[in-house]
Amino acid sequence: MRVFHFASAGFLTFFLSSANAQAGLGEAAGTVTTDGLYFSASVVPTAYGTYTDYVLTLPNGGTVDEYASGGVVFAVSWQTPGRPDLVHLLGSYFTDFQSEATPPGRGVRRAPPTVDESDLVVVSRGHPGAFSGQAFLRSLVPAGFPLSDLK
Amino acid sequence: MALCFAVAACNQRGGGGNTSSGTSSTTTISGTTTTAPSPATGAVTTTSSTATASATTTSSSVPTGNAETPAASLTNVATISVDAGPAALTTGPNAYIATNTPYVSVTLCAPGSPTNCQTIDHVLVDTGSVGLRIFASAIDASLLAALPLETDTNSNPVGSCYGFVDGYMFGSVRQADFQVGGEKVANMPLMAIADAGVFSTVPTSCSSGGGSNLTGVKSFGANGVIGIGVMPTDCGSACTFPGGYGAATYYDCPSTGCGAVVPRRASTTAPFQQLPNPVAAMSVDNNGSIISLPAAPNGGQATMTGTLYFGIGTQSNNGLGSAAVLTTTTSLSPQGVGFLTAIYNGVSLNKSFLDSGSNSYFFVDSTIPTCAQSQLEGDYCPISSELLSPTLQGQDDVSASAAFTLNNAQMLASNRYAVLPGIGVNPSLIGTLNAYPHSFDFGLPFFYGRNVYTAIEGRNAGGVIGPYFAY
Repeated sequence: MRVFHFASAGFLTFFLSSANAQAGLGEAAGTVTTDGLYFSASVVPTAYGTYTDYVLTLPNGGTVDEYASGGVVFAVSWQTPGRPDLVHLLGSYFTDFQSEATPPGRGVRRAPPTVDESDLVVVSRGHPGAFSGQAFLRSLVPAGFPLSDLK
Repeated sequence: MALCFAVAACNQRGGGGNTSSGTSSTTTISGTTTTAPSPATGAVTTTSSTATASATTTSSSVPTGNAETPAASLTNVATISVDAGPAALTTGPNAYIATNTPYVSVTLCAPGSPTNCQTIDHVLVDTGSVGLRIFASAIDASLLAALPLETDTNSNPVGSCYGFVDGYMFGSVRQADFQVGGEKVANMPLMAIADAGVFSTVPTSCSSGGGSNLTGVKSFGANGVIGIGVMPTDCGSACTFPGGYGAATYYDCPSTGCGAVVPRRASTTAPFQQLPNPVAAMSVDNNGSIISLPAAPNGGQATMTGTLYFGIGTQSNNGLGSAAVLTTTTSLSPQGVGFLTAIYNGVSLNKSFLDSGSNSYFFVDSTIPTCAQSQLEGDYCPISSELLSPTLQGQDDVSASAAFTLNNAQMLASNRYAVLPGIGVNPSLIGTLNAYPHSFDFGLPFFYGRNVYTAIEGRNAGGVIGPYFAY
């Protein structure tokens, strides 16, 4: 993968981590910029009619996509060498994901976490060096959005 | 039923380094003996015939040893045991039997000391990760104290985070003289998982991926993990600049607490900084490894022993022979490193991989019923065993059959065996969305009855440059 060197980004990352607005899933599309700064990522939006796909490219070459419609982020997806920061990407839905992804007895048979609730859906897969996944809110997905388009 | 807790007790033949037979025997509790297939002779010999790497329970014919490399000198082997796991799993509350989990023993010594050493049993052999990570709780206190902490340019200790798909490990980076089988690496960095003091607080950027904080032998299922996947180091170029992170994250850990993310060089020779792939860091036999396990009957068996060979085409016991070589995606690929394409039911799944650290096949097939029992949620329970026929294809367009018999998980689980062939899990719990559209994860059951080769990225392994899997 290509590596983008952001020598000063280390400082930026830690300065923002303690005081950044809630961003990610379910939040306003404008918060994608906040995520871009937090991840030291370039942000490239592409409009597709009913939704916009914001592609964040991380310094390590990984990518995060944030999909917004009607000014709200309804889905995120990732393809990264390390696990993504789901605290930021899932925003207020991280707690939900965490409790669903670590049910008791999971330690006996380890498996990729999936969440399938009435609103929140999260899928995570891969292995070190190659992780990917998607998360979306059923209530916010625009009509006709092909879920298979989530990268 | 008697279970084998210690590798030594289960192992009927040591090491497998004898080329005149070259096989690792397995004696199960029931007394049945099966023999693992043996890799072909390597490039060293030119006249011997090639041993086939086929899935068979009969003795495979193996070439006689080369007079120039007598059996006793072949040290590139270690015994693999698939058993119920370390004692911590099978005792106390919430005890359980590890299933389809390959273990090896490793020896750690304080650098330069021939006596301050410990052999740690039941370390998970993992082709899906890179680096050696041992729970601090599994290391004798007197040895742990003598393993120097790696330090950064601030002269502070270095901490490290490593994420797995379902959780994360955080700990100190220490150095040890390391040995596995007959291979040694001096001053090799490793993670002491859940180490004490400043390392007992996990940085938020480590836990932010979610999942379980893997702090204990019981919850993880092993005393540690030896990651021998395709990457030469655990982070590669992603960790070589300030703030940079990838599969691993390294931290500056002064006494006030771990904080800044620090750069670490990706070196497979001393002086190390990142955790190296232990195989890549060996002085010889360092281009890859082979996991060789015997086949198991569909009903499972209590335990199994096999062999981990170091090097591909470097000795008389680790040649490629007739194995199909499937190259994987590289660290330059956008989707990440180490992927093959699986073709299943006519669909191409381009994020597929072979993973000895997974204990099942993970794939989606909505036509196969899943088990009703809650503790087997997601496991496949076909009415009767059925043959499934995925094909695997490399980036080099080489294809090979990956067919296997899928068994009923509930029937297998009832035997309380550690070896459960043909176990499959549907990781997608979502009805309307195929949440696993691109991936078929071939876990340890794929390795039964095969020699599976893992070649390290950038290394010439038997004439083909890694990364690749071969079988």
